Order: sequence, then C-alpha cells, then structure tokens
Amino acid sequence: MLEAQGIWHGFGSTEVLRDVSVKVRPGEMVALCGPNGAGKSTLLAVMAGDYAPQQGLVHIDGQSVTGLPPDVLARRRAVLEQTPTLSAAFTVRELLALGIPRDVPPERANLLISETLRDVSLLDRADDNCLILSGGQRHRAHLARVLVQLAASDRACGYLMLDEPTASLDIAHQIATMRIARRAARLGEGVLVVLHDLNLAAAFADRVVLMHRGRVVADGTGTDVFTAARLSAIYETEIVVEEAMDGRPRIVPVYDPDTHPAQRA
Amino acid sequence: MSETSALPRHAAARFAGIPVFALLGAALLIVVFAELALGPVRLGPGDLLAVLLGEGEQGPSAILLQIRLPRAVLGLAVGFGLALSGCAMQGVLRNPLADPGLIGVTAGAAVGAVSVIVLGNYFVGDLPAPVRPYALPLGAFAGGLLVTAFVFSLSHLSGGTNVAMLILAGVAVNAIAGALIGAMVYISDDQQLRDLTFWSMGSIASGNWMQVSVTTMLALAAALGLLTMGRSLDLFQLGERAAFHAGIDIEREKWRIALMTAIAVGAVTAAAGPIGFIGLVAPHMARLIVGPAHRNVLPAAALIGGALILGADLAVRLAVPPTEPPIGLATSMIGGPFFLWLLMRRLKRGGF
Repeated sequence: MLEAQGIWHGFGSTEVLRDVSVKVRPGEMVALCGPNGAGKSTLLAVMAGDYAPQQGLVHIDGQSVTGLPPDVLARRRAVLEQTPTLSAAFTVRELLALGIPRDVPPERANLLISETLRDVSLLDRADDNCLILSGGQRHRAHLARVLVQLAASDRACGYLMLDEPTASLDIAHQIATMRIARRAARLGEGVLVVLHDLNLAAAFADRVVLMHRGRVVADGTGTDVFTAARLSAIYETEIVVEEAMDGRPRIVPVYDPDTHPAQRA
Repeated sequence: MSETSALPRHAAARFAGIPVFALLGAALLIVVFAELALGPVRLGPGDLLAVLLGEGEQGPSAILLQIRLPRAVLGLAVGFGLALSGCAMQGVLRNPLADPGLIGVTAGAAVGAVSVIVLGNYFVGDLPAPVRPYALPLGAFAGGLLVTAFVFSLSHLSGGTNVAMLILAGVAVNAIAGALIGAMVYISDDQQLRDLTFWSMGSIASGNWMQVSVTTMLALAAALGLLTMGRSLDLFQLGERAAFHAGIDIEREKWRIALMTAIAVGAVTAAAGPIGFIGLVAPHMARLIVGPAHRNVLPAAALIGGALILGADLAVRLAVPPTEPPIGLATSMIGGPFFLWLLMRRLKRGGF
C-alpha cells in the first residue's frame, strides 16, 4: 500500500498541505482532484519521494519513501510528470530503455519494451525519433516509459503516479491514456492520478480524493464525492451534477458566457 | 534541444557498433603514427619499430622517446580528457553548447595552475616530496572543481539550464579568471612570465616524462570513470526530477561527474595549458556519427578528441617548420567558427 499520513508541507510562509492523509491500495485507481493551488502536485511529489514533508510520513509497502535509495524506490513506483521533457534525439525504443534498470538482461528488456509499446499502440513507431512524434504520441511514449519501469521490476505490484496525464491531449488521447492507466490498475498496480477533468475521474477512478486549500475535503467513490453543492463551493463557480446513463455522476459547469467573474463575486 | 538538424523519420540512420568504433580507432592510430613519424626528422615505420623494440640508433631513439612519444601520449590524454568532459557537461546540463572552456572550467583550472606557477616558490618547497609533482595539477583541479560546482548549482537553481544563462555565467567566470591571472602575471618575474605566456596559448610540446605521466594517469583515470556514466547521462536528458524518478541519485551523480570532469580538465590544463573547443567539437561529431546514446557517444568522442588534438598538433608543426606554434591557436581557430555555426543553427530554429 502507498500511504501518506498526516502530511504538512509548505514553501516559505505558505502552507500547501495541511494534515493530508491518502491511501492507494494495489489494484486501485485513485484520482486526486481539486482546484488549482489545492496542493495536488505537491502531494504527488511528496508521495513520490521527491522531498520529505515537514511533518508526516509516506510509506510504500511499509517502508518510508525518503529512506529508500532512488534505485530501490524506482522499482516500487514510477512517476509521469505533467510535462515530460527529453533533450536528446532518442528513438521511442531508446526512450523506454531509460526506464529499465541496468541489471535487466537486454533480451528481457527488449521484450518488455515491445510488449509495452504494443499495449500503448506505439509499436509501429518504435524506431522513430521521439522529437518527430505528435504531442499526444510523445506523451504516450513517456507514459510507456513509466509503465515499463514498473514492468521491469520483479515486484508483484508497484505504484503508478501520473500528474495530469490528460492535460495537453485531445479527447481521444485522453480516453486512451485513462484506459491504459485503468488497465495497469486491473493488472495489480496501484494508480494515483491527478486529474482536472472531473468527468474522467468519475468515469475511470475507483476512488476520488477531493482537495481544497491543502486539505482533503472528501474521499470516496465519484458518486459520493462529486456533489453539486460541494463542487460549486470549492471551485467557486456554479456546477451541476447529473446522473449519466451508466449511473456515474456527470459534472457540468454552468457556463453563463456573458457574465464577467467580477460581477458574480 | 535536438542534435540533428533535419529530423529523419527513422533515427536508424546512425552507425553504432563495432565497425564504427574500429574505424574511429584506426583513424586515431593513423594520426598517432603520423605524429610519431612526421616532423623535421622523418622516421619510417622501420625506425619506429626498432626504437620501440629498444634497438634503434641514438638519433631517432632520442627524438622518438624524448620528444615525440611524450607529446603523443600527452596529446591523447588531452583529447580523451577534454572530449569526455565536454560530453559529460553537455549531458548533465542538457545543453549541447556546454564546453569546459566556454563555461569557464578551463579558466578556473588555469587560475589554479597559474597560482601554483607564480606563488609556488612560497609553498611547494614545503610540500612532502611525493606530492610536489602533483602541485600544478592539484591547483588546476581545485580551480576547475570550484567552477564546475558553481555551474552545476546554477543549473539546479534554475531547474535546467538555458543557453544564454550558461554562456553569460561563462563570460563572468572567464572575466574573473582573466583578472586573477592578470594579477598573477603582474607579480610574476621574467622567467615565470615567459613560461606563462607560452603555457597560456596551449601546447602539448612541453612534455617531459614526469609531467606527462602524472597528467596521463589522472586524465585516464577520470576518463575511465566518465566512460561508465553513459546511463546516468542518458537519464539526465529527461530532466533532473524525472531522472530521480527513474532511479538515479541526482546529487551523487552530479558530484561524481563534477569531480571527474575537474580532475580531467585540471590535469590536462596544468600540463598543456587552456586548449579550447575540443570538448565542444568532439562530442558533436560523435553524436552525428553514433546517435545520442551516451554509451556510444562517450567512447566515440574520446577517439575523435584524441585524433583532433594530434591532428591539430601535426597541422601546426608541419605548417611552418621548424617552428612549432602552440596547438591552442589551431583548436580555437577551428573551434571558434564551429561554435558560431552551432549558435546560428540554434537561432535559426528559434531555439534558446
């Protein structure tokens, strides 16, 4: 289990996380939602072991994340940054190889890379230069790099942490990305994903953690967490929640295009 | 940040593998042979073989063993050290324009070396005898390390490095180093002044075996260390945070690379003076041939760097015989325009 307990963290005099606790179980997909500045990315960074929180503990399968050396940690969790970058003209295959530890034999590494590329429908681009891929494909190649990192560790389950993986993608790529993450969860990985799109969260996540001003304000299924009153309050804009045909909540902001924000306040 | 100007759909148009390294190795061997054979006194392959087997006549033997061989060995150490340091700095800083000379590491090393040359009278005598031959490279190492650490921490602060920042930092460091060296020159005596002037133009001719062996040992040790950093340098291309997520200890790797770079540049600069642009040109040529993966770029750049240094040395020696203009003039004359071309290319692509 990936578990953050009583996390407090701030930068300077600003408290970004105030007593946050979140759990991700193996095989579970948890969406982290909330307005800009709620502390989602900071929580993800703390849970990824980027830095130690000022207070509180993060445990991954019972061990403190900041106590594990980076190479051991990399076998237990993989992280996809919001805007992954690459400064060299690697091929897609070479990019994925970056996710695989040195001690994995080359034949196994190649097999893992090919399987993962097939899973994300990029096998036909394997030998292409990453820099000529479209934005969506490049993002998916980085997602594959993160997936292959977990696949290469011989542990039964790892944790996949995705920071707004759909932010710069068109609708079809958003759905494809979420399905890939969903599949990872079905295969046993714990998935923690920061999402701005509440409908994607409601459709794909087993559980939603809603954050506001550094605190967790709700933690449960999409139906329990996404209520019109709660969302309208924390996003400070009018939001309607309907029931979709599949029984999941459908979150619809009221656009009211001719009203200026200042007038509403 | 791409290295290839026209992006091919398939990046497979690269030549990595044993044949390419064999070719590069063969090219290097040919240059080494030319370096040993050519000069005011020409030596044939027969002479070389005889001398190397310890059976040569006195004349060729002295020329080869006392002049050309130390020169060739020092040249190789300089080429390997500078090319690999350039590769490593470009990799860590994710910046293809990083070069030990441009960003001031060489200047830092030069300040260290000049300080030992000028102020050495005061303290080198007090050092224990086994340490004395290392005083010059040690001084250069300390100066180089200081600058490397500074530049790496800049890249950490700015969360990556843009070219302008790096070059400007280099301008500042070079200016400070220039002032410090100027101060040393001002207080130096006539003999020191003469030594400094020739040293500062960069030359691999100074070689006596004592100096050459110290330099070569240090540069080769650092070079071997840098050759093992391929995977880390590849991971650095994802950015420091993602590289950490993929399993490397960023701070430790940066320190390692900074140390080895400073040892290589320090040793090389102490013995041969500041030689510019090899750390820029060799890795670029290597990437054009073998692609971007550092496990290939590093050895290829080392072979190319060695060949470039000896080639430049041959060029200046054969240009106006029997005088021997310093090699640093040749590398800067080729490297300067090359650097400008790289800058223009980036500007055209709108990349900074």
